[in-house]
Amino acid sequence: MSDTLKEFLVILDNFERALSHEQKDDCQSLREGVELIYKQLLDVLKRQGVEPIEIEDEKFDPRIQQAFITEESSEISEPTVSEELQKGYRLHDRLLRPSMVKVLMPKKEGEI
Amino acid sequence: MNHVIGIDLGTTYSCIAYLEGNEPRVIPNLEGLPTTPSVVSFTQTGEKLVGNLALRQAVTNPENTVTAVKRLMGKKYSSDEVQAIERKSPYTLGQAENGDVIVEIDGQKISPQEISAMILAYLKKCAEAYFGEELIDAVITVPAHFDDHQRQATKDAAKIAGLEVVRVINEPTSASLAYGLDQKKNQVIAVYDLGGGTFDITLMEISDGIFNVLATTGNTFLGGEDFDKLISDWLISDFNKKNEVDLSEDKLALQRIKEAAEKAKRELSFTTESEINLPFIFSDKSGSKHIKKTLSRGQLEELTKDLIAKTFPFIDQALTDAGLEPKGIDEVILVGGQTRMPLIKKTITDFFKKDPTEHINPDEIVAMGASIQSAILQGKMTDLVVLLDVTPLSLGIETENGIFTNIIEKNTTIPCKKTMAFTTVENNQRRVRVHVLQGEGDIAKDNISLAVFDLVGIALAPAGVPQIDVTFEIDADGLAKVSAKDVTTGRTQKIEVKPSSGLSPEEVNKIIKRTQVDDDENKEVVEDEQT
Repeated sequence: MSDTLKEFLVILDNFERALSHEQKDDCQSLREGVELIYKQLLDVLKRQGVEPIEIEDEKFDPRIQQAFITEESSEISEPTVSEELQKGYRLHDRLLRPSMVKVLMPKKEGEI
Repeated sequence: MNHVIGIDLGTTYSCIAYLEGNEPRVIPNLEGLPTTPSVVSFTQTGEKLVGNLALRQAVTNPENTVTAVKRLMGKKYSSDEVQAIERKSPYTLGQAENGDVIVEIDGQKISPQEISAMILAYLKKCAEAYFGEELIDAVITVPAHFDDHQRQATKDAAKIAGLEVVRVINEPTSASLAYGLDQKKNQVIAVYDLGGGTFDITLMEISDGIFNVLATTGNTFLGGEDFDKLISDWLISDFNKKNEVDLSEDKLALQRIKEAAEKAKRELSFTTESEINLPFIFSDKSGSKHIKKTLSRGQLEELTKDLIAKTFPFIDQALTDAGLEPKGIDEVILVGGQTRMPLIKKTITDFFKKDPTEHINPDEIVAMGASIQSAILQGKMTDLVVLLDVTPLSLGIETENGIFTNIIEKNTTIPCKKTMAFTTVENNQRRVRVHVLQGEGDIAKDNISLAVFDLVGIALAPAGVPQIDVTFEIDADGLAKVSAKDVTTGRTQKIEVKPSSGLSPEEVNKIIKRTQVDDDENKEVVEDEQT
């Protein structure tokens, strides 16, 4: 537990650095710094078994996705993911949090 | 003997538990969570989804996603409660031939029992995955105010799910068992149950292991979700004032706010201040906006005090019904996640002038109590007395001029049996019709109609000569049974039973057969995993 927390403290240090150097740096280098911290955090989580869920199949899957917004479309025949609104994560093989997605629904017959 | 599980089949969430040694333990669902949303969905591809899966796709399929089906159990379509639910539900309700409410999914009529059975079947599967063996026996809990129809509907649901219900017990009785209150002698208990979507207050008397419900009432549309909504509304209105942006139109923002509101509410049960930080809650061409607010416990209490106040008229009502004063209550038990809120505990303490008992997880306590009851029934916990409940409503028949004649009085310890002699009113009468009802009204039509019995084949005789003994029985689950015997001839009379509500045994068996066909594929998968 304390080893994991120590890894988080390193990330916290880097956030402090980013915030205190905000005045001097230009926007681009600040962005680069934040990106590095983001990768660092992702790595720490990965070592703990947390992995982001990549949306590979377009077919909506409630086992790993939570539908948030829906829209009707005549171009599809089954519920299809059109946009990821918030990333989902797995802890080892278990679902930690579903991906929040926008789902296109097949247009019902007889409707214009 | 195999494990017997305790099931709390809740309105918004359900929970299962078993007894390990002398300790009740909650069985996690297939996703590793202690409670499962009581939600069932029917997808376009013909799949049936239960719990979190059903919830996650609800917006894609609102008209085929059934929530809070417990509110429909054993109810007539024309009842005021069902009519109120229909106005709020995205799914369609309809009427069965006997007037019972049914859910219409894609033109197919599905009884609330079948939908509850799908939740129970999922919970059964979770327990079987946990133990690695098939489970059949279960103790299942119902609200204390459930009448015969609602209890029978719950039992039928369990049967459809492949469960053998060894006992149906009242939720407040179950909570008291989890605290071991049955072991103390002669006391009066108040059970304050504020769950996700419903509120119940029950006053009970326990003496020598007998639980006597003195009064029970509540509001089926008041719960923790209302508290979350008030916090969300506060955040949305504050953001709107500052930025002139209405976040209630943005579904993703709304969901983030809802989650943050619930988290802040939970945190404020243990801290005095909670920070709500929602970076990038809104972005447009002019830039990004964030929510950065501090909610204090005091502010939360100010926001939600009216909701807490709404529960007190029900407590007053229950006390009046039971003929009690607050000081007459020996013990107060808190059930339901929302009762973690300190203001609720304080208001209850001030009202009853005593600290409530609250050290067991209020979301899991009912299932835990049910698991203890299952162990008592199995004979594992022999130091505990066998739990006895009482019938919450009087059982009787309709007599001349529509008057209700009480046969088994309210609060009679169950199981119980009472025989009454009937005779004919006309010469050579071959048939006597008996209308069985449950309730406290003096007029038959004010009560709940349970069944109509025709006693047929009575021997020809002058009026008043035949004697037909009709036996009324309420079993340990609180379910009524009626049988009849012609004393004159000594023969048992043939009775035509016409239940005025619920599913007939044939209907239940038909559903079981149909479900078995549906589940065959799933079963093969489970079996494969076990080998």
